[in-house]
Parts: sequence; C-alpha cells; structure tokens
Amino acid sequence: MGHYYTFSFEARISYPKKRNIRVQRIGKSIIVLKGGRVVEKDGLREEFNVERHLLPLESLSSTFNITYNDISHNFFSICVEKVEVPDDAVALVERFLYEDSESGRQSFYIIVGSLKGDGSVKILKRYQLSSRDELTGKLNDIISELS
Amino acid sequence: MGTPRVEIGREDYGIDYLSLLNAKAEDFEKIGKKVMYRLMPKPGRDYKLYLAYKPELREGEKLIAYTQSACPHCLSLLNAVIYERDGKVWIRKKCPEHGEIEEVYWGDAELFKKFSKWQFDGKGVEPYVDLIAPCPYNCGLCARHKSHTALINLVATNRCDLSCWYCLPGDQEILVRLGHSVKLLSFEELARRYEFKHRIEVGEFRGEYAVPQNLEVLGFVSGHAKWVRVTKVLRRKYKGKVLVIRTSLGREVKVTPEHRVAVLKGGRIVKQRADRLKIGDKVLSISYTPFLNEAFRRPVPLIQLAASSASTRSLTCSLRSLEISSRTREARFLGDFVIDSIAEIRHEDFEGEVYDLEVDAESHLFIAGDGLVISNCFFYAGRVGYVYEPTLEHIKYMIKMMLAERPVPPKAVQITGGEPTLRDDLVEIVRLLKEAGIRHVQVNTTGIKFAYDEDLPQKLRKAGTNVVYMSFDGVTPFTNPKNHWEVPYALENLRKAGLGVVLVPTLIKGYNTHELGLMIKFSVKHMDIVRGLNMQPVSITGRMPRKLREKERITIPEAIIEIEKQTDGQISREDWYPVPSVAPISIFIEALTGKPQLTFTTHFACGAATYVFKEGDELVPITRFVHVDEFMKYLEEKASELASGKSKKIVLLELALKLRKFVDWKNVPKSLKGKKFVRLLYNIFVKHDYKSLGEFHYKTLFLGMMHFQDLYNHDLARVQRCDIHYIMPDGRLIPFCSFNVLPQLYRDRAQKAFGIPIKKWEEIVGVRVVDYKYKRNIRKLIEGKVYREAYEGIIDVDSISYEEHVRASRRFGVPVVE
Repeated sequence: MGHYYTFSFEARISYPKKRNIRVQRIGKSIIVLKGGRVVEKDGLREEFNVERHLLPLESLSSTFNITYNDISHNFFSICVEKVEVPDDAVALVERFLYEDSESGRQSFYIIVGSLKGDGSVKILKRYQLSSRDELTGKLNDIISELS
Repeated sequence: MGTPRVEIGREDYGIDYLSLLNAKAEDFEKIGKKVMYRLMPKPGRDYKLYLAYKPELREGEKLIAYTQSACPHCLSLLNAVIYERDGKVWIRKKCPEHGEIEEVYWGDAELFKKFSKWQFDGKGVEPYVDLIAPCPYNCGLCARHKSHTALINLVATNRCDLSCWYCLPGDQEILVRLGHSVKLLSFEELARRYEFKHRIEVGEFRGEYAVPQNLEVLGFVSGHAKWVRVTKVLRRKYKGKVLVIRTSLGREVKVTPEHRVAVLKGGRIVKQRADRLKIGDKVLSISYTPFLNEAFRRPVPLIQLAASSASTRSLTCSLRSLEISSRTREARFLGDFVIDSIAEIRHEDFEGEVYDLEVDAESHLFIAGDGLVISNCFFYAGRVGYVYEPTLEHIKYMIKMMLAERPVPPKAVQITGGEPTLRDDLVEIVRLLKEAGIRHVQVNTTGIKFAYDEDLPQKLRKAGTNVVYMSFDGVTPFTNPKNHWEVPYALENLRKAGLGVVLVPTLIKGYNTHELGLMIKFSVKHMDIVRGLNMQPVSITGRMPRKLREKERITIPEAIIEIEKQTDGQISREDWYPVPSVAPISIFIEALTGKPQLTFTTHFACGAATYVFKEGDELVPITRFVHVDEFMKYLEEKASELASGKSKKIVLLELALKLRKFVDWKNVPKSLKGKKFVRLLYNIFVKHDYKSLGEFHYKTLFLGMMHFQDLYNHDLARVQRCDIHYIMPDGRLIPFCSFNVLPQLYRDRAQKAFGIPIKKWEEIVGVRVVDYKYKRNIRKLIEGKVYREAYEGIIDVDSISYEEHVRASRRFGVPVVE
C-alpha cells in the first residue's frame, strides 16, 4: 500500500506581487484500480511539515502557478491529507477550486496522476474548467475513460 | 546528514570529452539525457534543509515578507526575512551551523515600494526536469519557474586572456609589503616581479625559486599579525588532490594534503597535516583589525592556496616558546586572531602551477587564504584545471534544447565565456544561432580582440551579431584596468563595422561608483555606436566578512541616486522603472494576436532601466515626455478588454487615437518632434516591430541596471522569476542566479564534466593556455589619436603619467610590454 499527500491551502501574499489565494480540495480522492474499479477515499489529516511535504505540495506548482516560496511570504495555512493507495491503483484523480480574490480569478481543476515514491503525485493530465457543472461533466468523462 | 561535498571529479560522470570531439549533435543529445540528473545537486552531499527555524523581526523592523535563501557557507536552504529598517530593505537568515547573516537587500525603501507596484508574474515554462528537489537545487528549468527566457547565455569557452580578480573564481591574492608600500597582490603578479633563476629539488619537491628583496607578508608572531620577511618565492607544477578547508567563520584555504595548518590542541598550537584535520579542530583566523581594514584597499577575496609537499622546514614546532599557550585554553580571541573551528573539508582535483613562500618567522606561521594561519611554505593553485569549450556539433545540440522551450521559445542569445573571442570559430557560432532562428545575438567580451582585429567585428556583423556587450568599468585606468586602453580602439573598429555596443560596468562602491556620471557622459559621447550602458552592481563571490561587504556593496537604488547626484538631476530617481514595467506591452500584444509573447516577468528588484535622449548638452529621459505609468495602465486595460471579447479593430483604433495623449509634446526632444515619434511608438508598442525597436535604439541611449544575486542577498522569489538563463552542456536551462551563485552545483560541475584536462587540450591545439594571456603595450595605446579622442572631454589623459598607467595595468594582472 502506497500513499500520497494532497493539499488545501490559503495564502495572503504581498510580495513580490499581491495575491490572495485559496486552493480548496473538492470532494474525496478518486482512485482508479486495475480492471477499472473506482474507489473514493478520504485522506487522513496530518500536520504540515515543510521538510516532508515540500515536494508533494510543489508537485501542484505548475497547476496553480504557486510555489512554497510564494505561499510562505506572509500569512498562510496549509491542510495536508495523506491518502492511502492500494497497490493495484492505476490513476489518482483530485479536484480543486482555485480562487484569487485579488485578481478575481476563479477556476476549477481536475488533476489525473500516478503515484511517485516520495508522496508526490506525478501529474499525467490537468484540466482547467470554469464552472462546477463543467467540472462534474469532465470528471464523468475522465472516469469512464479510465475505468 | 554528512558534510556537504560539492566538488566531484570529472570521471564521476563517465564523460570523456576527448572522445567526443568528432561526435554529432545527436550523440550529445544521448549523453545529455544520460547525465542530466546525475549532474543535479544531491541532498546531504550538496545541501541540507533547515526550514524549521524562521527568523524573527526585531524592534524597529517592518516586515516585508518571508522567503527562502541559501546559506553562504554550506549552501543549505534556510528561511529568511525581508524587512525595512532605517529607510533601507534588509534580508536576514540564520543557519544552525553557521549563524546569522544579515545583508542590505535594497538601499532605498521608497524606491523598493515604487518598483514593487510593477510586478507581473509569468505563466511559467514547460519543465525540462522533473521535480525531485527543493528550489534552488532542482534548476533545469523546473515546474516552479515562473518566467520564460528573455536571454540565454551560451558559454563558448572558459578560457580567458586576462587574469582579473573578479573574472576568475578564487583569484589568488595576498597582502604584502614591498618596501613601504602595502599591496594586495595575486601570486601570479607577485611572481612576475621576480626572476626564478634557481632550481630546487628536495625530496619529492622539484621546482624553481626567486629571492625577493624587501618583500614581507603578515606572519604569526607571539599571537600578533606582524610583517615578516619573505626569503623565497617558489613555484612548481602540481597534479593531485587538494583540500579545501572551511571554518565556522566562513574562512577558507586550499592546501595540498601534506600541508600543515596551525591547530590548537590541549592549549598548544601544533602544525598538523591537512589530510589529518577533522571537523571541529580549532584553528586560528585573523580578526579584522582597523590596521588590516585600512591596509586592504578592497576586501580580501577568497584566496585559494595549495601547499607544497615540502618537508624541508620544521613542521612540528609548538608555540610554547611564545608564551601564549596558557592563555589559549578558554579565550575566543588570541591576540590579533580568533579561535575558529573547521566546519568543512572538501577534496578537489587539481592540476597546474602552484606557488610557495618561504618566510623568516620563528613560528614559521603566516596568514593565508582569507585569514587563516597556516604553516610556512604553501602553494597557490591558479587554474581550474580543465578547458570547457563545446564543439560546434555540441553547440547545435544546445541550440536545439534552448529552442525547445515552451510556451515561448527564446529569441535572444548571448555568447559568453571566459572570453568568447578566443575561439577561432566564434563567427560560425553566430551563424549557427541565426540559422536556427535566434533573432538577437550578442557577444559578451572585454573587446580587447576588437581593438586589434578590424576584421572580426565586420565578420561578426555580417554573420548576424546584433550587438556587443563590452566590459567597461570606468573611464580611468584606475577604475577600469581591464580594458581602459583598448576600449577606444574597439569602439573605432565596431564603428567601422556598424556593430552597436552596450557598455557593461560592474559597480563596486567606492571603487568606480564616483565615475557613474562620467560613464554616462562617455556613452553619450559615443552614442553613434554605443546603444546602452548596462550597469551591474557587484555580486559578491566567495565569502567575505560583513564589514568588508558593506564597503563594497551597492544596490540598484543607491546607484540610481548616485546617478541623480552626478548628472545634477538630469537623470533622476523618478526616471527609472523596473524591468517588468514593460510587461503590459507584451500582455497587450498577446491578447491582440492570441500568440504567447516574450514577456519580461523578472522580479522587480532584479533590474531597472530608462532611456535618455541628447538635447544639446542636456540629457532628457524618456519619462519627461512619455507618461509611462498611464500608458502601461491603459495597455493593461485594453488587454483586459480584448480578453473579454472586445473587437480588435475597435481597440486598435482607440489606441491609435489615444497614443498622442501619452506624450507631453512640449518636452519632446527636437530630434523626435513631429508625427514620426508617435509612429515609432505605434510600431513598437502596437505592432511589436523589432525593426522599429532597433530604430528607436539608434536615437536614444539605453541605461540599464541588473543586480545579480550572491549568497548574502539570495532570495528564492527572485530565482524563480529569473529570465536570464544559461544553456548547459547537458541541455538544461539554469537561471543566472543559480548558475553563478551556486557555481559548485551547476556551472563548475557541468563544465568540469564536459571539460578536457588542460594538458590534454594543450597537446591537441599545440598551444599552452598561458600563451593566450594578453600583454599590453600601454605606450603605443595611449599615444594613439583614437585613444585621446575617445576620452577627450571626459578625462584629462595628460594628467596620468605613463608609470601610473603601467601600475594600474599590472596591479590588475595584465603585464605591460614595451
């Protein structure tokens, strides 16, 4: 049984550019197993430990254009969840809501990945969507394609 | 985790460059992919993470932000705090092993606030390397990187025809007294003063030596630093391992394994072989007394020393006779010395010439490296031991890799070195870049070769070189001993070729900053060929005590304020804008065309710029007649309208109609009056026309500042936004401030892996590396009409005697011939 870490976080950044960001996980983690079976899993909360969670957190860098350095500039809070993954898992699916109240930008994301040994997710595909309805529709397509 | 070991032998990567001299670009692609990850920094060995500790603010300090930064001593990752205090911006970090480090980040808090309003973040790049380590140990580029490339540096060679102290890492210097004159000289400079007439062979030591007259160095005498006579200057060839010993205070010395270092043991000072030293051993470092601060006109850089294997002198004497042993047990200070401890010992391969001094001191101990007490008889290692010079096929692979960058492939490349004009095939490299579609090619050089070779600028221009970046540290021989005499001749030949030049001074406080106004004046005088003056506040390499750093350090706002003073307000602090301030132009074009555009999204603290026009004897900055703030804001608004679906035709029409309103016509210089200027602006800002941009540059002088980081002011927020990158021999792209701030992990490691040992290289080309070293005929240069005319109205060339010229050149390391 392997595991990966997934995150929700908030950061009020004033340097070098003002950003007021909230990245919120949506729903449970979805794991597609060999043979097409799909399971939904809750994560186990863990206290954020920068040395342990830095790389898994930053595996989301390219998705949200945000690094640990950005987050840590001023006020921030990070919620870490550890998700156990069965050995026969073939894909991991995570959903996020991204909001920046400074720019008024809001987007929904679906990440499809595989497990990396260090608790990170290797991102295979990434979808940026503009509404919750679009998110639901795309998720159904992804699951039926994977299962 | 163990002690970091940052140097690795070339053989560790299994690359034999000699066997690749006829390899094809495809072969380099295979090798690059194979070694790329192996060359990357490794945790434990190269760095550690110390992110648990967060520095706190103190009374009178106002928080700006927290960030991460590397330790100047062990390169480990630390949290740092950036804050405002006393009108300046500072950065502070604390390494659990090496203590607290505080540094000026920006010398003016008000300009920091003004500049910070202009930050635009990029959309990032498609990563070249997987995310396997924290920033900045994952460069290549990785998914964290926010800016695409604005300029790629291609290192054509690590050879250089000069031996300047800030050109070669670890340049060797020692404080000497020659008669009554105290000087900081390199060992090579020192050696040049003497004839090595005597052969010496003792045990395994074979070399030659000179007997100097009136030469003294600082010796360890009864706990005090006192001048002691040098009885011999020796040199020999050496190949093998050397040990780099670093102390808790950050002082370093490089010695051969046999060399003896003064160690405090049981209250006594003993001389111990370097290869038997252990982490934690107590050693002696000189404390920086007022006398020494005064004596060192500039700070002592990290002097690298290598010791001889000689055992001809007594190497085991204790200092009991000096009556200091009983006082040393508990004291942290010992006379003029601090009791320091060894923090790190690294092994490096070395091949080259080493130097040695024999001193006449009872203790046989004197001060070397950056302040460590070592035994009599040591050698300096002056060369890195390999030549890195990628073949044309290898360069083809590097071009392929740079062009693979997405979403925006690079459009500008700088060929750099070492000294790239030392390559006979430089023109061919320019041609390769142009054929591959690189729009802007510039050559970074001292220009010395251009001064003597009229054809080279012509050939480079013909091959497609757009501009030359030429070193220019000041207007006098004292501030610019690198190429003061050659600059006029280089400019003349570049003028004949019609090849524009950007002058590039490195600014060091108190050394050449008093000449900022004159540097601008010189650039304006030669505006027919000088396109810009791009000033670079010094980036401190090696380790340096705080007081000495403060003496040298100048930041962008301080240089801007100095320019305001020296130009009598003609170029004021209000006239400067940070590099990302032009991002709205690209954002607008991108919204208009739908195509990803080159956007300058570097950190606002990295650089600043303005343009000035000549109006009679006055200089008129562009900001006096173009409302930059309003114009950029307007472009941002229009880009946003385009993004939300507004008709392109309507937006363009609105812009064309509005453009005139951003110009204050009563202040426009005469040469720009009329519709032509608006048309020029329209072509640049709306059409993004590169040709019009060139035309604009012919009419104006670009003034730029680029402050590259060092380990003291290092900020990951800047590294992640860097847009000046280096293409590596393995195909990675490395941000400038990782390549040069962490050279052990990036630059040196990769160049060594793809390098050829000097001896082998010399066998192949049939010339010795030292044979390329430039020798200057000052008399001939200063007597020329071109020289006098170039500096006329800037300096009084007749007020400088020939002897002063010669001394300036020699002090820098360039020999003078008649």
